Amino acid sequence: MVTSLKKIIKACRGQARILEAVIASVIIFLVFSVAFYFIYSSENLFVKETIDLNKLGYNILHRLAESHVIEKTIEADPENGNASLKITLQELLPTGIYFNLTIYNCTGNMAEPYSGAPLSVSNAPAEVFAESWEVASASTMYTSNRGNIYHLVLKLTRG
Amino acid sequence: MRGFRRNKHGQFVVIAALIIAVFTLFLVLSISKIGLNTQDLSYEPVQELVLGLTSDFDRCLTHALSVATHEYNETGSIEEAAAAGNNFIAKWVNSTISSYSNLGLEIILNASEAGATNIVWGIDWDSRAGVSYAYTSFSLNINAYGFKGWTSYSTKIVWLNIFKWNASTNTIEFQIMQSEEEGFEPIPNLTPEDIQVKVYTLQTQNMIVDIGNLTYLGYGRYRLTFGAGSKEVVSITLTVVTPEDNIMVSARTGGEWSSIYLSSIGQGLGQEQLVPASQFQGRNGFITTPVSHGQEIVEIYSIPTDRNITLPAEIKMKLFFEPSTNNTENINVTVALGFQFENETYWIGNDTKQITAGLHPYIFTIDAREGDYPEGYRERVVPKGSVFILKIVAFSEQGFGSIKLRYGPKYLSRIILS
Repeated sequence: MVTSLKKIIKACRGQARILEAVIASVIIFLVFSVAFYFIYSSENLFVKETIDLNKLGYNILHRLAESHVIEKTIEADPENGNASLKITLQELLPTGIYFNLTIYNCTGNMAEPYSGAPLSVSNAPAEVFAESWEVASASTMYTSNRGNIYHLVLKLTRG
Repeated sequence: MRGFRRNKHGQFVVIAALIIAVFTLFLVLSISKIGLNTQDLSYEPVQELVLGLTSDFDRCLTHALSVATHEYNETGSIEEAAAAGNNFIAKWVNSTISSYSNLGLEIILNASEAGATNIVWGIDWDSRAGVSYAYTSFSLNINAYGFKGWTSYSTKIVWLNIFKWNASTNTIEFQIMQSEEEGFEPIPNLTPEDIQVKVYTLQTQNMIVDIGNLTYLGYGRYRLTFGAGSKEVVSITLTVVTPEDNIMVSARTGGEWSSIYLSSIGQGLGQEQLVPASQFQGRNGFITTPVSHGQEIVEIYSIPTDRNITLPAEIKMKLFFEPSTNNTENINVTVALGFQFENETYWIGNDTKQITAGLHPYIFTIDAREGDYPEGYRERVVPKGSVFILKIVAFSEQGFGSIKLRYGPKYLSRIILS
C-alpha cells in the first residue's frame, strides 16, 4: 500500500513537470503570435503597398516610353489621342487602380521650356486622389521621334 | 498532493519562459518600428529616375543625330550640323533640369573642344561606306537624394555600305546597320520612299533617279535597281533615311579617304591600322599607351593610299582616351600625324591635350599648312602610295601608368582628311 502511494506521488511529480512545460510552450507560442502580428501589421503592409504602387507607376511609364505610345496616340491624333492613351493605360494597369497621367510639353525655348497647357488623362472620379490615404506618384522624361520633349507625371491610387 | 504542491523546481521553467517572452516581444517591437521608419524614409526612386533619364537621353541623342544629319544634308557643313544637334541636346538638358528642379537635379555636359569633350559628331558620307554618328556622355547629380557622380554614355551610329554597283544594269547592293546596346543590328524595313539615288553622268551631276525595285536580301542587305535612261553613269550617291529614327546616312561610289578610322585588322594585340571607312571592322578595342617622360612612343600606320590626297588646311583627329588610373592631373598626350612616302617620313603636325579622368573623346587639331611634303608635290598633298603614321606620346612628371586609346563602332576614333 505504502509502495503504491509512493509510486502515485512520483507519478504526480512528473505530471507537474509536463504541466509546466505546457504552460511555458503556450507562453512562447503566444509571444510568437503577437510578434508575427507586429511584423505583418496593417501599417507595415500599407507602407509596402504604397511602395509597390510607386514601383508600378515607374514600370507603367517605362512601358509607355519603350512602346512609343505617346507617338501612336496624342501625336498621331491630337483630337482623339487622349481616349486611345486612356484605353492603353487601363489595359496596362490592374483593375481597381485609379490613375491620372499629366503630360507637360517642355519643347519650348531655353527661357521657358514648358509650352502650352498640360494634357491630363484619368479614369479617377473627382476628389479620389484628395481623399485617398495611399497615392503614389512617378515621373519621367520622354523625347518623341518628332523631337517633342515631354515630362510625364503619373499618379496612382487604389479604388 | 503535499509533495506536488511543495515541488517548486518546475516553476523555474515557467519563469524562464516568461523572461524569454518579454525579451522576444521587446526585440520584435523594436525591429518592427525600425523597419517601419526605414521604409518610410528610404523610398527614394533614385534608380527609377536615373534609368528613366538615361534611357530618354538615348532617345534625345537619336533625335539630335536626326536633326544634325538633315542639317548636314541641306548645308553640307559639319559645324552647322553639330550646332543643330548640340542645340537639341541643350534643350533637352534645360527641360530636364526645369522638370526636376525640386530635386536639385544637375546635368553636367561640356560641348567645348578645348579639352575632354562630352559630345562628338561624325558625319562621313564621302565614300562607299557612309556613317552618321553621335557620342555623348554626361554627369548627373540628384542633390535631394544625395546622389552624385553618375556618368552616362550614349552612342548612336548608322552605317551604310555599298557593296556592289553594276553600272551596266544600274543595280546596287548595300547594307544598312544601326547601333544597339552592344554591337549592331540590321535595319530590315526600308521602303523605296526611304531611299534616294543620285547619279553622276558625263552630261549631268546630282541627277535624282527613279527607284525601280528594292529587294531585301537579309541581315540589312538590299538589292536596288534604278532607272537612269540611256545615260552612262560614272558614279552614284545613295542616301537613306532610317524609317524609325529619321536619321540620314549617305554613301557614294568613287569617294574614299575622306576620313581614316582606327580599326582592328586581326584578333591579337598590335593588330590595329588606320583604314578608310569601307574597310572598317566593327569590333571595339583599345591600344595601351604607356605614360613615360616622353621616351615611350606608340605608332599606328594606315594602309597605302590609292590616290593623291589633298588635305584640308585644318585636320581634326577625334580620339577616345581613357587613363588606366584616376591620377591624371599631369598626363599630357601629344598626337602627331605624318606619312611615309618612298622611304621618307614627312610630318604634317602635332597637337597636345591634357587627359582627365574617365573615358572622353578629345579633338586634336593640326594645321596642315605647316607640314612637310615631298618635293614635286603641292602643299597639303599626300601622294598616292603613302602610308599615314599616327604617333602618340603620353608623358607626365611621374612618368608611369598608361592610357587607353579606344576605337571601334562605339568609340569612333578617326582622322578627318577632308
